[in-house]
Amino acid sequence: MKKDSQKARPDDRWLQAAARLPGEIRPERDLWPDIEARLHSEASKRQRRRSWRLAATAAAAMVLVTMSSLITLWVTDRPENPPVTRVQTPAGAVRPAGGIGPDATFGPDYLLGPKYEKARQQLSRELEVQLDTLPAETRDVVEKNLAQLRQALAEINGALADDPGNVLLQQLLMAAYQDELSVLMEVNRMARSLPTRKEI
Amino acid sequence: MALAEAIRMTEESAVPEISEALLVRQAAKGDTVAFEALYRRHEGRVYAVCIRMLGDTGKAEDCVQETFVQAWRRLDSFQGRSAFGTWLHRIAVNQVLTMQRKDSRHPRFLQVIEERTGGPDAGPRPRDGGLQMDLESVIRSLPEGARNVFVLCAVHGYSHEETATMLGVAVGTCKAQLHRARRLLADRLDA
Repeated sequence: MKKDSQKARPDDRWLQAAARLPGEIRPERDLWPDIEARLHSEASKRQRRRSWRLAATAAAAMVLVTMSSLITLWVTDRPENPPVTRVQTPAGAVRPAGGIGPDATFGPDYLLGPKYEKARQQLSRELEVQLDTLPAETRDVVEKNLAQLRQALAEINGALADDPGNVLLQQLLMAAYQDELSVLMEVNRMARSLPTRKEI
Repeated sequence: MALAEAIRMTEESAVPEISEALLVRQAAKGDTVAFEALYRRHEGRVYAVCIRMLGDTGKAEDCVQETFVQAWRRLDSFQGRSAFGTWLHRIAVNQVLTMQRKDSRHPRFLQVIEERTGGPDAGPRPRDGGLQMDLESVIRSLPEGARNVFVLCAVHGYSHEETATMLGVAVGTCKAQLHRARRLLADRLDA
């Protein structure tokens, strides 16, 4: 053994000595207080970032509703606005049932197209499911906006019942329905694009 | 609070240590008490890597702090494939490399002044302070590339592959740098 170690190359001797150096060296001072202070500032920064993100989501939802309202108004203001079929509905005719929202009506003398009714009902049903996946703040904003839209629809419908031939009221009502439809579609799209718990 | 109490009890008595995996899980949930326990377990090893690779107490302390702050930020990404200590070492080595890159931008004349005044840790070379002190001192004087490889491979026992990955170099480069470090050590210590 001794002969072997004597034969060993001198740089191997230092390599063996290096392997015996202590694996741990304690710092001269306690570094934890400084680290802890930085962790706390990190936590508060993270909190601020999270609040900002929620506020941004709510603001984005508001902008979306406003923009879609403006676009719909602009589109429906044009003369080639698709007309609603005037039908002779017998008194007490059964109208198709809505989803989570109220029934879609168009004054006493009009019926909305079956395709529109079907899309609206399907989107409303999907919305009921998708709303649960949205963050609480976003859900509140969406529900509030939808409630406002539906109140407006009810009011215009009421006014149209008194004055069925009023073209302005018809246009307003059409715009509000299109608005509702685009909000429903957008919310469904947003909810689907959010990562699920499993993905996180 | 229960975890904090358990940590305190294990520190004060002979109760078996709380498992590292549990501490990591708790720390990942934002528990700073659990993270402090992890820090206390690993500060010595992390500091040893930093001080040997950087050769400067102040920089090594900064590096340790930055390592643990980075680890705190990335705890979610720690999947337990390697030991927590190894994961921490990788972060520390990254921090060391970042600091060395910053230092390499310093004007050359500052290095010359440091060399002439005995470097940032000025003081007499511990020629008679025993083998360990001599060795530590000469490791500190090695060129950066050779020193990094020597510290990780020869002192802390990482394989060439692990060292090469941590330093972002080829395995061949790692082997060559270790050979160079061994030769320089032998020259300086046997002289």
